[in-house]
Amino acid sequence: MEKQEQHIRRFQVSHTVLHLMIITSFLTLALTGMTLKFADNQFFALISRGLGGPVVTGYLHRLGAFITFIYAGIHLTQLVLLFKRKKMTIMGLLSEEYSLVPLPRDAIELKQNFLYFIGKGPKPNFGRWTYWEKFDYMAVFWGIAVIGVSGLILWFPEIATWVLPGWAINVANLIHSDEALLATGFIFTIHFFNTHLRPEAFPMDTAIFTQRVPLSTFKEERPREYEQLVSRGELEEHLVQPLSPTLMKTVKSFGLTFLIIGLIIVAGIIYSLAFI
Amino acid sequence: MQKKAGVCISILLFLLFATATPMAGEKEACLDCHEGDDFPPRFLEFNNTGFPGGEETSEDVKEIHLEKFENSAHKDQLCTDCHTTATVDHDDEGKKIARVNCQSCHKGQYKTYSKTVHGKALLKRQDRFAPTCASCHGNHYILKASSPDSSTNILHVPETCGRCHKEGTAMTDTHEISRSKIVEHYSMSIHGKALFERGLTVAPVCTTCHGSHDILAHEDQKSKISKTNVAATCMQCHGLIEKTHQPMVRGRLWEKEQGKPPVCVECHKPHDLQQAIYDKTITDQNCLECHSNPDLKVTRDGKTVSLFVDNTKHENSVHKEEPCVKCHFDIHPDSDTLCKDPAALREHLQKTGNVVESVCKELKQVDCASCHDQEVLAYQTGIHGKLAAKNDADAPNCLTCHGKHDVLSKKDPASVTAALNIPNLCTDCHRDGEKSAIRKTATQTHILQSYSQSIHGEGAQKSGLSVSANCASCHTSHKVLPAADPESTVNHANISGTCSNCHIGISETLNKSVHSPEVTKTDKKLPVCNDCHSSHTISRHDAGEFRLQIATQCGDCHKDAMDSYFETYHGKASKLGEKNTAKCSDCHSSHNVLPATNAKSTLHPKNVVGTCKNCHPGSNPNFAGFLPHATHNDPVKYPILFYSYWAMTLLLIGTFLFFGLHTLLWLIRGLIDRKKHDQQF
Repeated sequence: MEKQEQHIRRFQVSHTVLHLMIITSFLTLALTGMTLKFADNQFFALISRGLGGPVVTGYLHRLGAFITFIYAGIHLTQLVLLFKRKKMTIMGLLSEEYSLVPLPRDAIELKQNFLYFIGKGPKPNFGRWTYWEKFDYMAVFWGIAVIGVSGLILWFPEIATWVLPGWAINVANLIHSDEALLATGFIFTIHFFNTHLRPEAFPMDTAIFTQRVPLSTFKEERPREYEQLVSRGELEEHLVQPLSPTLMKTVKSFGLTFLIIGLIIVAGIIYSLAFI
Repeated sequence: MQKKAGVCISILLFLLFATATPMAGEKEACLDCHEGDDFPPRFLEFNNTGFPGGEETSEDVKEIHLEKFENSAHKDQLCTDCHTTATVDHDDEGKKIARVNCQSCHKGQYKTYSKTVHGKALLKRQDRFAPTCASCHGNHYILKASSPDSSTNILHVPETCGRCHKEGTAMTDTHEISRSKIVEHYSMSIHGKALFERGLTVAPVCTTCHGSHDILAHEDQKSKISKTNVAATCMQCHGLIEKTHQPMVRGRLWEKEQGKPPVCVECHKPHDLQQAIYDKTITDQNCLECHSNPDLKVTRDGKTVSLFVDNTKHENSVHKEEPCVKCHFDIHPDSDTLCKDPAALREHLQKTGNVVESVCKELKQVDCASCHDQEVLAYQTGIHGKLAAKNDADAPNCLTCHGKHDVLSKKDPASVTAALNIPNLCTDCHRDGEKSAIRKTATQTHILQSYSQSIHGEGAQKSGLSVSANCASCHTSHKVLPAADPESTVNHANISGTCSNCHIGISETLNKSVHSPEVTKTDKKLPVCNDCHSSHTISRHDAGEFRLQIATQCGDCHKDAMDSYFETYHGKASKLGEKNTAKCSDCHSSHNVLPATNAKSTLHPKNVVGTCKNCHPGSNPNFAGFLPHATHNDPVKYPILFYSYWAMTLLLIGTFLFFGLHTLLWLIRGLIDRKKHDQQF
């Protein structure tokens, strides 16, 4: 048996669990939401009917929202706990390698990357998080806040209007709908490409499910983090065995299924926008 | 006054010239001789010499009693007022007293009388049968016509006239009278029956038409019964007959020209007026002699036609009381004599070898208008009648819907025209593939199926409600017209009225709403019932697909409102088939649509929260401020939404532009790198 390549651990199990929650809830929300947004479109009307009509999709949508609030809550709790255990500080967030906060270095890397794309320079020396990964994270953070609040207004309009004027429902509806379009469109195209469909990883990057990446890939994609780990002598701590091929197959088929569903939805959206 | 003056003058004259005349007040003087049984028989010698006054018989005179005379119309007169030449001792002197001359007082009547057939007969021909005043009025005991005992009272006129004009009297035997059995016919006529059987004192008697003193032969232009005057005479009582006469008689309009009806007596024989013009002398039994035979057949135009009549059906039909001849009135006792005489009929059949065609003539098709003229007129103005008039083979006639001898009342549930059976009846022709539906003009399809699924059809066919609308409720039964016809009950202009026959409450509400022509003056077509409720597929508003169609129906006119509605959750869910989300009518109401400024509007500020509460129990004034027709395309009306929309859109465009470019460049670089990588290894 061929000796298998060493892998390095990149995520914790909790990350996988949270991402699975995001995937399922987001797909549910996107699909059920789009059936209403593009009610004129036969494709979405068909899906709506298949799922049991707008009442059923309404309940599914609320279920998705509920899951979203849960994972958002879990994540916020994790952040708070990280602060409490002093593993993370405000200063750390603004300087450390683990921070997902966009920093000036990201702007430099962005510029370098564009130069690299047009063949005018080397590939940037990326660390643990690239600037687009930070954007993904912040976008979801922002998105949940915006879509969540506007969604709650639409969910409980009678209560919301205890304080808000009636037209706030209209505005909430508009923002909820357009922000959802942004999120869905972004995730199913940009995120999908940046993470999975890019030539380097095609057809998919399984890291979020397996929590590990091959060491060679890691070296190539995140050279700065690798160097830091080597210089600190911590690399050995993070090395793990790869998953069994059977398990990898399962993970891949699972991931690909969601990938395809997402692409179908985005195809439907483009069709709706183009023809209506 | 005239009479009294005349009386006074004559009294004065007699005082001057006849000193032997008994004095005024001396009635007793006459009665000394003329009262009671003592009356001397020599009075009999007195004879009628040609003066109107009457044939007096000893019997008449014998009966003279002052008491009876005192009750008469002439009670205030003295004997000598009429018997002007009588003196106390006229009998002793052997003088004959002159005949009573009624004209001395009743000049006018006498003058009239003298010109009549009766007067001329007496005065010119000295006809001994000519009636004098006394013939009709009597003599000493003349009563006023208003008195029930008077011979000239309405109750006794036929009897009085009949004394001479009855069949078999000396007068009718010796005179040529153009009418026979006058009294007999009169007493069987509707007028006679009114008098004799119902005791109606307003019933017309002889004098009503012929006059009393002014009786003239009908040939006389001045006669009340002459061709020119008879209508006016009849119209003394039948004043509005021209308006109320049934317009159809025997299949033809009774007026050959508008406003020119025939003279009454052309159809209604003067003395034997019947309620319907048919002959009762041919009985049903006569007809059934042949027509009860199931094998009775004739050949017409090469086709064998059964002439069998199932009398049990007729006896159970709504026409059970009507004799055959009432409808088949063209059979005639004079020409169709064999029908009346079974023995002769059998003999005839034997002789001819059972050639039934030779028995009675081929009768015309029954004309129902004889009795049902209003219905037939309506039918003729309707499309069915118009097509029938063009000999269209598809056109139904009375029999197509009502049947022949077995016609049942529409109230009879077994009738084909009973409310619950009408849809099946009409769709015999109006069903897809049938006569009417295959005509090019038919626009509606699946009429019966649609109706059966409609609320009206379900009411009738599932719940058995006879009041549920059927075809005839909307289209009428006889005057059926296509909707395009302005007179049609289902024409756009009339349909609200038609529906309001049943839906009166809704019609009242609608008439006060903005959709009423009384409220909104516009050139545009205002909606009527079937614009929203459709016609044959009409359904419950709270069931079926009806609620899902409301918005598009309103949107036919209110396009902007519909478009903006479909931009909102209400509209989108509705589009996806959700019946419960608010439709136009849930907020604007269905029939009571009013501007929000109207206090009765469901959208008026004081009502709107309640309106929202129908679906959103937690509704509050703020909540009711939701903009159900808002769009993000109107910066003036909805600036917040407009700018929110553009902010979001710019965010979207910006994000996708940036990352789109990023991704594209990455893809190209990635592919180039991969190629290089592949080449290296």
